[in-house]
Amino acid sequence: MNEAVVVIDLAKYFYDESRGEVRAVDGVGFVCRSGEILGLLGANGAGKTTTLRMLATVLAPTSGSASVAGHDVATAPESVRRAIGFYSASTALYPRLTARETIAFFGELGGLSGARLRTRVDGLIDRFGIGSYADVRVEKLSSGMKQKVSIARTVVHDPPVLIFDEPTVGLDVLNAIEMRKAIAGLRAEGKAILFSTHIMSEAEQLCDRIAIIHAGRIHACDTLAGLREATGQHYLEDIFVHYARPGSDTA
Amino acid sequence: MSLDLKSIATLYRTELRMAVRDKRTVFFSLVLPLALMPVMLFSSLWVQKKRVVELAVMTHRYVVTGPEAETARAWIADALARPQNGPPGSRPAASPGHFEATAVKDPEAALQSGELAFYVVAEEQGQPVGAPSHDQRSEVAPAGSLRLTLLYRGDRDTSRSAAFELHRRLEALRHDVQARLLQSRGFPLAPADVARAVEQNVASARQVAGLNLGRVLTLFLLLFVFMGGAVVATDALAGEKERGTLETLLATAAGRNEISAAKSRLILSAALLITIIQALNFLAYVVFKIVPTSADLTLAVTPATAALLFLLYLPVVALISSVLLATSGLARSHKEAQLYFMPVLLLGLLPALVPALPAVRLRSVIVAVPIANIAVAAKEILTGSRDWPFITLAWLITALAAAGLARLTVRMLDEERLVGSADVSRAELLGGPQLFQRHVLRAFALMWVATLVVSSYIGVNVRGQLFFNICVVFIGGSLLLIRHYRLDLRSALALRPVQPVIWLGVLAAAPAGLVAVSGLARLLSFVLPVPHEWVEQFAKQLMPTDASLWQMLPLITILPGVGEEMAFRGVLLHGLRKRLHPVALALVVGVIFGLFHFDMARLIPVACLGTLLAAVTLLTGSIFPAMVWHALNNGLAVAAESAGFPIQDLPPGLYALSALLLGLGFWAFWRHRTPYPDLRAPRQGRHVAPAGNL
Repeated sequence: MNEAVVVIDLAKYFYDESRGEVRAVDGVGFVCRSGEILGLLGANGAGKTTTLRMLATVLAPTSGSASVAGHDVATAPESVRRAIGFYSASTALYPRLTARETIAFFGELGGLSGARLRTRVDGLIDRFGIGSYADVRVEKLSSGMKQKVSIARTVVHDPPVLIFDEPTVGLDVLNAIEMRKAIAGLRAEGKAILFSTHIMSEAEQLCDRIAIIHAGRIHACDTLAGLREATGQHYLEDIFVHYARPGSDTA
Repeated sequence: MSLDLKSIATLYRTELRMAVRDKRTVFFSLVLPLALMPVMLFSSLWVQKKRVVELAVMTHRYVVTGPEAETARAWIADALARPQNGPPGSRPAASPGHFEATAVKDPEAALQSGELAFYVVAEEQGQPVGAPSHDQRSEVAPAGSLRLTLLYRGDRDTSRSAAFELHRRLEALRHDVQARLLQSRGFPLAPADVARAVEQNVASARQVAGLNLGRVLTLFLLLFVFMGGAVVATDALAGEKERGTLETLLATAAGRNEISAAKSRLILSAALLITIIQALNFLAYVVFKIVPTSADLTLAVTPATAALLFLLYLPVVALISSVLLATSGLARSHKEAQLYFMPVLLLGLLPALVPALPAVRLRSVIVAVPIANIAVAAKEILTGSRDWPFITLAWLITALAAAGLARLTVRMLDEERLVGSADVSRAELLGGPQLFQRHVLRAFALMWVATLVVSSYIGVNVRGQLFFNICVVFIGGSLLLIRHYRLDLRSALALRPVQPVIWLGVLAAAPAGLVAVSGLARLLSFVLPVPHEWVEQFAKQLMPTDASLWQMLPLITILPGVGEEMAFRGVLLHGLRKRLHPVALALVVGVIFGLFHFDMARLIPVACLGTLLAAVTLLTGSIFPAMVWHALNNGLAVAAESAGFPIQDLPPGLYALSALLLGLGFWAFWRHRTPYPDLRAPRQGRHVAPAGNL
């Protein structure tokens, strides 16, 4: 498996009038390989979203480096964005476009056109079972339907790297299961997947390796078995608390 | 910077599709502009007709009181029975109506309550006026003549117009009686024929109508463009942020430039659509008179004029589109964007009011003010005037402003506060020199406004202007900026020593530059003629008659040499040094320097001087050569003017020789250069580079 995402000492500082300098991400480093799901597990405010936004080139790093599919996020952001599909709970769909139009729009932006685009769109509509509402405007779809359309538009241009930032937030149990199944299916296609969550069970079920992030730093990054061995704890929650408590060392 | 046109096309098509599916957008961009003009025209016409009809049938009740009431009633009846033509030269009847004399116990109360339109107090001349609110003094006139006082309510339209109409008729009767009296006593002429003065308007009806229309056309157009474009713009960025789709878009292969370009085109499309609709409305209702319009708007506008106006307004539409997009970019939500739009609308409409001011011409400093310049140009075109060089200049300036603002919007998309949690940048939080680089142009814009306001009030008092501008604005302003942003004084003012040979270059280049720049200005005057009276006026201001040469010299040489250099080649150049390529930096500093001199006749020569001074500062790394050059330049100019030496009127050979000497001077500066430190290096990005050669 090749290293699709390489992050070295990435940092992001924000500046707030009341709090001054805020180190949202303070030197994280990890690697994500093709055909693997790397989970970023952390509480709210740990730095997961900021890290993923930097990899998606939505934010510029303050320091450090990262490359996605061989492209540097700082010097070749356009190439990075062509190589990724970015899905976040905070990213929305255009309400006045139909499901088909949405997928086609993002496919066009991703470089597809003509018959190739049409074939790809039709294929995704079939794959995710969107056929019955493909020509309905997004504003009229339920949250589960929107979720499927969102996944479809994320993968329409067949990027080698996928970034999912807390994708199951706000979804009911069944839809969350559907989402995890879809992501697992994408791993089987050989995608490198970065997956952030604060739900322990989700990380356990889905992720090949888990990076525990807390206060802007990665404290551990290993398989679940490796983490258990390193901490002597069995449950991921206990493993997380072990690393997240004050005074714990970075992995 | 190359744009991915395919991405822009994809983004634009999709944005357009979404906009067309939004009922609000369709209503405000299409339906309202289509419907509003005919509604306004019809309403205006209906109100006018209704007013005339109502006033014609209205009955104006009045009462005559006072000691001479009986005589006055007969006099008034006589006046009302006359034909409705006033004395020669008087205005036409305002309010024909019917006048009905009546009787009330308390005329004042009846007037207050509206029972009466007005009442008349009739007295013999020489007696104090009987009405309670009048001054008790009155002129004593020959006894036996009647004095009528008409009391009315000025806050009531009908009361005022009825009183004015009766007054007009009484005046007509008075003139007739006066004429008969004089002629019966042997006066050879009717009084109206003595030194009769008549006025004759030589402007055609078309020109007069063009003036009336030109005063308001730009205002109405801007109003429609703002209203229609604002709906689209609000959704373009603020709406995207609120929905969360902006982050989705920023994570696609489309770059920020492409996203901004597509959104600009969308707003521009809406604005253009509205402009075209208004142009068609204008043609349909005012030119082809499909529907009768008010007489004030009747004019024969040829299709060529209409087409010219359409082209003229294109950069205005583009500028407004950029303003709307930038406003939307600043807001984080729909509601916030709507809050911003009202003040932006009011500020945006202000330049469109300029044509309503008297004696404003395009060939003035107005040409440099975007939107105002186009508004004045439109008025002049409608009155038949075609100042092509200045029309072109106005168009270019407004187009450049639109392009600049569009670039600003692209940079706005780079701001991480659009999608992040930070509300300030590092520079804003820490302040200091880094923040100064962002704020320097704003600071100088404020200084420009201050000097403009004061020059408008101090007027032609040169000494007062000079003192205020230099001591308060330039020196005071520069020191304040240095202190507020914690700039290093030596760096900010480039207080560095220079090599001795540089002074020789300055002594040669300063007079050569003065002559060469005058030659350039003279050359340009063949393309952009400067009225001679502007040049003469400047010369008078330079050497006022109440001051000697030796009194003016320190004011004109030392003060500007120190104060203006501190501001422009000191603080301004220091603040912009990392944002612009050195050549662009010299030009920008020069142009800004020129703009601070509010004089169209001097704009180009002053800007050239400013550029030369900036260039020598960049080459020597020091402000001192520019100070000495500036002082020398001004001193020589004043001395030449005082001695009657015509720098503006030399043989071409002398100008060429001066240009050569100037070139030699700069060659010497280049050979012995000590470059200004910490400039933006050529061919590198925005990152700061070490000091580079020019």
